[in-house]
Amino acid sequence: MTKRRSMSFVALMDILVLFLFSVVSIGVGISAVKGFQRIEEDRSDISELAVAMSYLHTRIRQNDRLGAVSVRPSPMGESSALVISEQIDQVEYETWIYWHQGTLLESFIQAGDKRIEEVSSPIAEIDGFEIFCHGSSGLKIRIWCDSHMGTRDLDFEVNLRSSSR
Amino acid sequence: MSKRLRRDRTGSFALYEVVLSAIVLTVLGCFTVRMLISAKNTNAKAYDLYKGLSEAISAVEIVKSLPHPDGLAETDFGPGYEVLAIGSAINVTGRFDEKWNPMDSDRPEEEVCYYVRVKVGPSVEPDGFTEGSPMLYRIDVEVTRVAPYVLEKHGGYQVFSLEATKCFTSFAK
Repeated sequence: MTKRRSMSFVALMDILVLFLFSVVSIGVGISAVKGFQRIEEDRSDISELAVAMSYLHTRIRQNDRLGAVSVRPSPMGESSALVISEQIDQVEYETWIYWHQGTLLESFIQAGDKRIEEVSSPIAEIDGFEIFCHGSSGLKIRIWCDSHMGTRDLDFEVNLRSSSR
Repeated sequence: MSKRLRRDRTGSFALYEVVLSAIVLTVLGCFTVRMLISAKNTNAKAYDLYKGLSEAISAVEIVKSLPHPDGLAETDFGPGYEVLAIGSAINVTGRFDEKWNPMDSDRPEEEVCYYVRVKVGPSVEPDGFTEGSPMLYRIDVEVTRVAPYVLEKHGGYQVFSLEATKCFTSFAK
């Protein structure tokens, strides 16, 4: 009787050890997967921010001409938009760069056309974009991404050689 | 003997089996943590690179936007920056904490994690320089991280460096 009770106790302990080992193994596995997912998400955010910064800086520098670069209210009513004006065959066109619903968008349209959103194409997936004039010829830009790892942001300033906005 | 062993195996886990399992699990756990920290450090370095790049670009843009580097002031750079003129060179130092928040001069030096050092000076030492004459200036920017990354022993990591030049004249922008 005592021997059978001892046997069942040992069996119970075995099951407990197995259960504990399984739980810990699965826990370590899930934590590792979640950790790597977060790191991957963070890496993707950093990459998107780098793309957005590089794109914005290049676009401004490329179009640093008299009256070509301006800051206007966003067509989506959120924050401001960067607008680049240019003339092609005596027709004035505008490139609107603005943020809407987690994406930095670019829209190339004829000046005065209101269908900005319809002809937009995505540039980078970021959680925010702010642009404002600073001093006589400076543009201050802030872009950011929010994730489990916190907010990643990039601030930079571009001074126009052509001092007209 | 063989029968006894078989009977023992059906009885329960031997102590060495439990210990071995624990060791294997611990080793795997340590390896995973190490991999996670390594991946996190790689991300932190990538972010620092772009953050340093944005600070360096802004600093160069600010210096280049001025009619002359002598006119550099702390207000041009914003919080966290100090401007110091040494002879014909101007040194600008930006101090940031671990989360890239600008640090005031009253906060202790030990809390500084990132330095943005900008050195603006004539590329050739002025010889008979007259006011208003064109002069080529070098703009050197260096971004460094003082504190080591997680599980890394050494600090003083150079995040980014940039060299630029500008000829300051009365007519070139």
